[in-house]
Amino acid sequence: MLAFRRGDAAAFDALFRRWSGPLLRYLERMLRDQATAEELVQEAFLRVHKARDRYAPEARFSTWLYRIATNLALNELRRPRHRAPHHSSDEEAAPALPDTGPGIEAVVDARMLGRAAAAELARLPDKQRAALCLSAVEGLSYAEVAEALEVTEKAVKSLVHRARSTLATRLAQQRGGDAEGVREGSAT
Amino acid sequence: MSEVPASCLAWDEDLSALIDEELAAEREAELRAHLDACTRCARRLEELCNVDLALAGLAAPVAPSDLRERLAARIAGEASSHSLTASPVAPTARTRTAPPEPRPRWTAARLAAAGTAAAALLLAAWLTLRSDAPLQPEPPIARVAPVPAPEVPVPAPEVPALEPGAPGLEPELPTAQIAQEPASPRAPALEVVSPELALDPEPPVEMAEVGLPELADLEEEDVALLVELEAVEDFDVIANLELLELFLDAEAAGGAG
Repeated sequence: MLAFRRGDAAAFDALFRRWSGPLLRYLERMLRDQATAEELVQEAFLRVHKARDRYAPEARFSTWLYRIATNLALNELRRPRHRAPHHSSDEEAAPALPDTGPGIEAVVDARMLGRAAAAELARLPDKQRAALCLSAVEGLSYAEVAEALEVTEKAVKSLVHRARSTLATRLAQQRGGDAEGVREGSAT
Repeated sequence: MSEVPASCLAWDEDLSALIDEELAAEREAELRAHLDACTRCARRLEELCNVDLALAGLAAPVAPSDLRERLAARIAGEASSHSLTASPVAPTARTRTAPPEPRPRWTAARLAAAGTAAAALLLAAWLTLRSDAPLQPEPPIARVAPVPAPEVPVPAPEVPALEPGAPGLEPELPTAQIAQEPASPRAPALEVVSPELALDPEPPVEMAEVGLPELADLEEEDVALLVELEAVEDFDVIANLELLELFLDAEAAGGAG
């Protein structure tokens, strides 16, 4: 980033190559809409480009970038079209796969778990979702998440735990329900 | 697992912190000792770990190959837009009404950043104008409007102060006066915020809702003045005019008193 600030245009390309993927993943998790996430990736890098002179070397570039992206995502989520419950292809009924053995069972189980996790992640409050994604998926420290979300580290600890705890409970309930359904199905 | 037993409450948040490797060594040792003795917390830790496994298993979106090109196009568009805004051609109100791109959204944060940055230049220009040509006791608008742009000395040393929060300017900015201006609901916040980090208030306040009818009369001359000073980009102009009006109001009040 410092090289880019000094006028090295190739450095901006390097930053884009390094961070556009993780940023797209984060924004897609936040918004559950890839097209909008792509737009916001562009917007975030556009802001980086325009604000390069204001970049403070003491801050990590990734933290600054995630902070920009988080604010963009939170702004986007406040728009009316994002206030409706999320619907995504992840949540639609997947075609039933033939239950032909433990290998398939494990794959189906993993896919169902991932689908359920995506759906439950979308139901979390925005800041909880952001905190969990930044910490558990993007690997930021609590201090970095705090900077990105403009909250205290203590608040991050609480946000991450509440998010993870809610997801754990809901996923455990779903698994319990699924197991019960399987038991009921085999009894009839 | 909705109810956390009282004996485990003190450990509950630390379970997540343990997964995230955010616990101090001493606290981690205490928690591990607790986990050895508490099946409830050990089971809960496993459930929390499963969340991370599930999240890690989510398919990552694939960035389209043209994403970089689309960004490059936007940057080029911004650059050409900026060069038009900063053009030395005598600006008029018309140049503001036909920008090549949609106007940026108005936000309190943006106003605050723009306003703070513009305040120094406006104040410097105004003080210069006042010393060169005594202001008439007419309404504030008329005191600035007759000043032709070419006569305005460009305060080059002050230009770096466009950076929000530049310490050198702070003593010269009557921000406290502005913040306390009772008849100015249009200047909601003057805290320094970097525009790239701007987070809209909820709900975002659009300028159309705020309304600045009397500023329309100021537009042409003061846009010329501001662009002459290379003070700000197009979208900042109304904020600057707003601040200018506040300065002039304050001056009028001071002169009357």
